Amino acid sequence: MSEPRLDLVGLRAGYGRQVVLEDISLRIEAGEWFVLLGPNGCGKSTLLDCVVGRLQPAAGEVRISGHSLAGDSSNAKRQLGYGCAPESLPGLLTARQCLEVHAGAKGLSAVATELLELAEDLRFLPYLDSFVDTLSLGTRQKLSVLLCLLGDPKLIVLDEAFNGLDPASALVVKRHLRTRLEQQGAALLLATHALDIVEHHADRTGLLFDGRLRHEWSKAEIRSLRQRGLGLDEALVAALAGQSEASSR
Amino acid sequence: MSGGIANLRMGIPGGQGLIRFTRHTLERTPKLRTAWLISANRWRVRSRADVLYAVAVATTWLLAAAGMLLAHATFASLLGRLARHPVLLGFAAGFMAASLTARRRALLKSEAPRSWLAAVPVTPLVARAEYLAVTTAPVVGAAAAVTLLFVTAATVQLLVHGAMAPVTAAYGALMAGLALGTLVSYLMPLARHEVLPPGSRYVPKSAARRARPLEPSLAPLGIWAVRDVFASARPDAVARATIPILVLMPLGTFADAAMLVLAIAAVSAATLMFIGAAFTVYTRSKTWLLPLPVRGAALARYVVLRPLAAAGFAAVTLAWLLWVFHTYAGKP
Repeated sequence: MSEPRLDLVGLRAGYGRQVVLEDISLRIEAGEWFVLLGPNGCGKSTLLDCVVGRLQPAAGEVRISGHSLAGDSSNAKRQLGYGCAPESLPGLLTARQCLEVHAGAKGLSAVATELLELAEDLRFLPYLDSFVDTLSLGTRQKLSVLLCLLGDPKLIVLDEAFNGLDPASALVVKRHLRTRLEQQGAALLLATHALDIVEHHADRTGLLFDGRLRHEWSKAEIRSLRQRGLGLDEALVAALAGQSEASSR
Repeated sequence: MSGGIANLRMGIPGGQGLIRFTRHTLERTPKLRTAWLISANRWRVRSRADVLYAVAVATTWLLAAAGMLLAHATFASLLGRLARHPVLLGFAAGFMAASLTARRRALLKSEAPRSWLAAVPVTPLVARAEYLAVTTAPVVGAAAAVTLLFVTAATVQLLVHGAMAPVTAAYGALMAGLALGTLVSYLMPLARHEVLPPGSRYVPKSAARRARPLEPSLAPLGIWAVRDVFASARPDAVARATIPILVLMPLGTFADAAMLVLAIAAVSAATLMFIGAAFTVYTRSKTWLLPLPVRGAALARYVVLRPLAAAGFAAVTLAWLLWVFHTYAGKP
C-alpha cells in the first residue's frame, strides 16, 4: 500500500503562548479531495501553514508522501504545491517572472504544456507580462493556482482558492483539479467556506473547531444528508452548535 | 442582554473635567479617536521597539543637555549667532513647516477615498477640525521638540550666565517661522495627485516578448530588488530632496558645487537604497518561497547579486564624485 499523500500526527501549533491547533491527526490518501471547513479564526490557515512549512508546529509530525517535513524538508516540499494568498504575491514581478521563479525553485527544466493549457483556459495568458500589482484579485488568484500546480505536485494545498474567481474560471479549476487527482494520484487539501464544493466535489470533509478536528463527513454521508432533504449548511450549524455545547460543559 | 455583550457597549471609560471633555471630543471625531486608540494600544503593548525609541529620545535629550552645560561658552556664542540671524532662522523653520504640512495634506488627499473611515458621517465642522489637527500634527510635534530643546537651553543659560535673551530671540524666530510656514502652506494649492502603479514609466520593465517561452530560473528575483528601488524613488520625492540644496544656492553656493552636492547625495541615497532593497527583498522572497524546495544560499545569490552589483557601481561613482569635490574644494 502506498504512503498517504499527507499524514498529520498529533499536530499542535500556535503563536507564542496562544495554542491554535491541538492534537490534529489526519491522513489524506492519493486521489482524495479533502475539504477543511470551520468558522472564521478556527485555525484552518494555521493548519495549512503547518502543512506547507510556513509555521513550525510545537509538537507532532507532518509527512508528505512519506517524507517528513521537518527531517526531509527538501523532498517533502518537492511533492508539495501551495497556492498562497493573492495578496502575498510579489507586486513588482510580472506574472511570467513569478512562474519562472517558482519553476526554477522547483528545479523544473520547462513548464508543462498541461499547465500552459490551463492558463489558456483560464484566459490568463494576456496578463503574463503584467506586474502582479496591476492584476485584479481574480487574476492574481489564477496566478496563485497556476504557481501551486507547477511541477505536478502530489499534495495540492489551497487556501480559499476560489475567492474572487468568476464561475467559469472556478469550474475550469475544479475540473482540472479532479483530473489531476484521478490521473496523477495527487491529493488535495482545500480550506474553504464554499459548501457547493463540499456537496459536489469533496471526497471527505473535516470540521475544524476550537483547534481540533471535531467532525468528518464522507461523500456518502453528504449524499445521505441531501437525500434526507437536509442542507449541508444546516448540518454544519448543528455540528458547530453541538461542539459549542460540548466545549462549554 | 448577556453580560459579555453588555461589556462591549461603545464608549471610552469615565473621567471628569479635562478627561471628560477629551472623551466627548474623541467620541465625535473618528479620525482623532482612531489615532488616540492606536497610541493607547501601542502603550498597552509596549513593544520592544517603542521602548527603545523612548529610551533613544530620552538619551538624546540628556546628551544635548549635558553638551549645552559642558560646552556652555561655545553654545552661548552659537545661540548669539543664531539670534543675530532671525530672518534666516525663521525662513528655515517656515520652509520646514510648509513642506511638512504640504506633505501631510497631499497624503491625506490621496488616502481619503481609500480610508476605512471614508463613509463615516461627520459634521463639516468636525471634518474641518480633524483636518486641521491631522495636517498640523507634524508641525505641532516639531514645535514641541523645539520648545523642549529651548527650555533646556534657557535653563542652562540662566544657570550659567544669568540671562536668556539670545535663547528667547532664536526661539521666537523659530516659532514665528513655523507658524508662518504652516499658514503659507494652507494658502498654496495642492499639486494634482498622480497614481503611479508599478509598470508606470518610473519602474524599469523590459518590453514584452510574448513569443518567449517560460524559462525556469530564480534570476527575476534580482530584478525585483532593483525595481523596488525605482518604485520608491518617485520623481516628486527626488525633486523634494533637491529643494534644500537649490534654496541654499542664493545664499552663496555656486551652481557647480551645488550640482556636485546633488550628485553625491543622489548616488549615496541610491547606494543605500540598493543595499536596503537587497535585504528587504531577500526576506520577502524567503517568506514567499518557503513552501518550495529552495535553499537560502541559492536564494541569496540570486536576490542579492544584482542589487549589490548596482550598489557597487554606485559606490565607485560616489568615490569619483567625492574625489572631484575634494579637488574642486581645494581650488581657490
